[in-house]
Amino acid sequence: MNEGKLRLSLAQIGKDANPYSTSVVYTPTGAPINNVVRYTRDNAAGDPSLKPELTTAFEVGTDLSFFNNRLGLNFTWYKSNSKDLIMDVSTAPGTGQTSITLNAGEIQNKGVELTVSGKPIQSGDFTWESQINFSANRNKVVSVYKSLDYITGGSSFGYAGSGPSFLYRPGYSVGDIYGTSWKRYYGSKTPEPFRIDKSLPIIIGANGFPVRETAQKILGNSMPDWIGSWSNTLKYKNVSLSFMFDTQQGLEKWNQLDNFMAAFGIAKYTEDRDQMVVFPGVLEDGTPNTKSVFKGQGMGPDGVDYKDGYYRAYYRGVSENFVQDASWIRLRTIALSYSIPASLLKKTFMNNATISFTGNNLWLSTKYNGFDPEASDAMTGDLTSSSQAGFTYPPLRNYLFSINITF
Amino acid sequence: MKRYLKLIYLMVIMAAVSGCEKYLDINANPNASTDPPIQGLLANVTNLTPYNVYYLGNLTSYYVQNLASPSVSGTADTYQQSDPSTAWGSIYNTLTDLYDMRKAALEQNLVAYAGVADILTAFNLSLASDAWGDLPYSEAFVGGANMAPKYDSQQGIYDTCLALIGRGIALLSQPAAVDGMDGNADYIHGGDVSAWVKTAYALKARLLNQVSKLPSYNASEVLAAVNNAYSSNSDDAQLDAFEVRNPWAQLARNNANLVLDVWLSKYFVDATNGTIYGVFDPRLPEITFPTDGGTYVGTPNGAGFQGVRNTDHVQCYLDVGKWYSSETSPLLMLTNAEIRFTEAEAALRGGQTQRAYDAYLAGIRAHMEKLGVAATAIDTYINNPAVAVGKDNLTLKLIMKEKYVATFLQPITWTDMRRFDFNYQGFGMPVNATLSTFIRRADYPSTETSRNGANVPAYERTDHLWWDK
Repeated sequence: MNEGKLRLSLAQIGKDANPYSTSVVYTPTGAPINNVVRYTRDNAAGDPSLKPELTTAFEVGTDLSFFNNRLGLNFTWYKSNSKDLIMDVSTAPGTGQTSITLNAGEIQNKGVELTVSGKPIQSGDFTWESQINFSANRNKVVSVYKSLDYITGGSSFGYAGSGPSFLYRPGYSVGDIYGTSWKRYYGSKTPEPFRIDKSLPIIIGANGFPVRETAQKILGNSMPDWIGSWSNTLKYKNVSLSFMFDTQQGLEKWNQLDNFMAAFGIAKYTEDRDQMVVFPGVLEDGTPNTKSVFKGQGMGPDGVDYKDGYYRAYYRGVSENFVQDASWIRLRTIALSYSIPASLLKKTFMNNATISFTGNNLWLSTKYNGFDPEASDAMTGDLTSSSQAGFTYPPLRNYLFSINITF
Repeated sequence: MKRYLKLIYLMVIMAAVSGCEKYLDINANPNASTDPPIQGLLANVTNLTPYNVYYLGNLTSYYVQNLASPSVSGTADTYQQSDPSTAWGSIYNTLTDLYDMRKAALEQNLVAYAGVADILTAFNLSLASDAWGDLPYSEAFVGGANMAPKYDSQQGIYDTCLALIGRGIALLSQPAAVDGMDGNADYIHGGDVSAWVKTAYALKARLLNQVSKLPSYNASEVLAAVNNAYSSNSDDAQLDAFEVRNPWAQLARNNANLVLDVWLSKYFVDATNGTIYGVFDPRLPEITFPTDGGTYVGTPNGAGFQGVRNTDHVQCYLDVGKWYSSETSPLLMLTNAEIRFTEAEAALRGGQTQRAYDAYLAGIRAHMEKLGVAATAIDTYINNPAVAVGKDNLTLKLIMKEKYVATFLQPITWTDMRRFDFNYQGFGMPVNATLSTFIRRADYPSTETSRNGANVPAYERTDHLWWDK
């Protein structure tokens, strides 16, 4: 070991609100009619007793390096509590506002960060440098504003009541995606209030189609269990190759595009609309479902009118179908470069010349069926943007060929 | 001297600049007011209330088959789950401003504003409760002080509405109320207090008549309210001044620009073109142009467009320039025509057949005159034996058949149809209906279910509201 450090830190950081977040105001609305300016109570209100938000963070860490600095290790454990979180809380119009700036509650984050860097090979003309980053964070909503059961951090649109909500609920996690689900058969078991047990059979109605649970329950969480990256640089004489893999694992996203595709019969899986099926599951009394039904629209081969059909009348209204595993691993970047030897440049005006070829976003592996689980069309800043994906262009895949010359 | 002058100017400017400082409270938003200008609030609520009728009417008109979607299985046509956040949001925005307007009016002792606030609160609340039943009201509008207002019962809301009407009339009857409002800011009645009292009675008549299914129904109370309500079309509560144009005209324009909307339902067209009742209603040409074939054809609800190409004019819609959809058409809130039919219904239920018959004919005439139907065409229609049945042959069904046309596009039609269990001649379920029976109530909006979910009552769209049982 060359070096060993132990870090300990305790920090407290205050955060202020936006200006004028403490009052209820009246604002002009629309253009004047009959030369009279119309006034309305502004939909966004402040709280006269607003306090600064305070984050207290404690962290322990260690930095170690071994074998003549060829191996470095960096580890941190942290815990931070944000109290009196200042948030624009979305409120029901019945309150007279649609958003109120509040000290909305307390959130706790804990986690670890680990970095391992090293030079596994360093011999003559050949070197290999490598770095692995790993981090994992767990969060919990400790409490929310006064009498509230939960705070809505965001919501999204989905057809036929499938639009999910993203809630801060005490005892649960930030990033939980709440939505409608297929009703499960619990028998003598008691269901958890906000979770569904996906191992249980789905209840099939007397009409042969699965039954929808309209109370919104947790269908997934958009915060990853862990994040990792692995970057490498290999050098042989004047040639250098570097590449980096990135990954996020253990997260789900609301796939809004899939909801639209299912609603309009564009998704590939809706092509079974010419089939008769027996939906696997049980009837209300727990006995297995045996009724065969048509998945398409209109008159089925059995002479029954199925009207809008399974995908429009049932499937698209169940958020569970569109909250999907959005874990991914991707080759973020790869670059090959060649430095022209100084001896060849001696008689020219150049001091240095490098030719390089870079590719970004070349490979993605994910079970998510949309374009890219990282691409969100929602405005950044609230929970909606991090909880949904789709409906926008995925990040570009690009190739760069570049020549760098210094003189 | 010039140099001194410059110095003096500079000192004056500096004094002015430093003088400002004490007026600048860093927590007060310089771009907004914390004191609502009461005329501004009145202007906003008298503008929004007729719009709220429009927002809800744009949903209920599909339920009652005034309109039909050109697409197959339209959401509203086929009773699918909908998210009426716009209508709900606008109604609660209005109710919030009314709450503040009443408070400000009482602080400043402006009884006319307080009276109008009561009447418009009753109007908006009853409008909303007819669609949704239970509503937040008694714990509502206080912002952060109660972020999860509980829902008042439907019947409680109804009683509140009647109490608000009574209080509003009492306030407007005070001598101080006369000329007590800025007429320019009152887009509905131009500051005319007696016109507001008539509107209050008209709403009272509507509400008292609405409980026709219940034993508490009292025909003579309805008629007593009618006596103090509208007596001519000039009394109508309506919006004439728009920022740009009548909102139905906007939808008609969109339709003309191929953003298809506001197509007439087959049921409405058949009820007026002679198909169902054997008499052609001269109001139909005031509402829409005939198709390329010269006939009037509607779209069956749920079935969508029936032609080959949707640029062919083979079905009727609200056309730009027609009565309900011209740029400057009034946006109706509560009308004399409706009150005449309310009078006819209550009189018939109360056994006053002559009064009922007179009111029935007066209601048809009032609506036709409103739409500018030629006098001869009005007489021809009213004298048709299918219409002029004589007082002894007048039935509730006949009254409701005519009221259905006279309250075109208005949410009250849905309330009426529920009271009569949709028992209108030729009226049936839409194609591809997602419910097994007629729709009886609207969905709560997602803004309530997601943000105040614990207080939102459980319901089905087939549940009957309390006055519909």
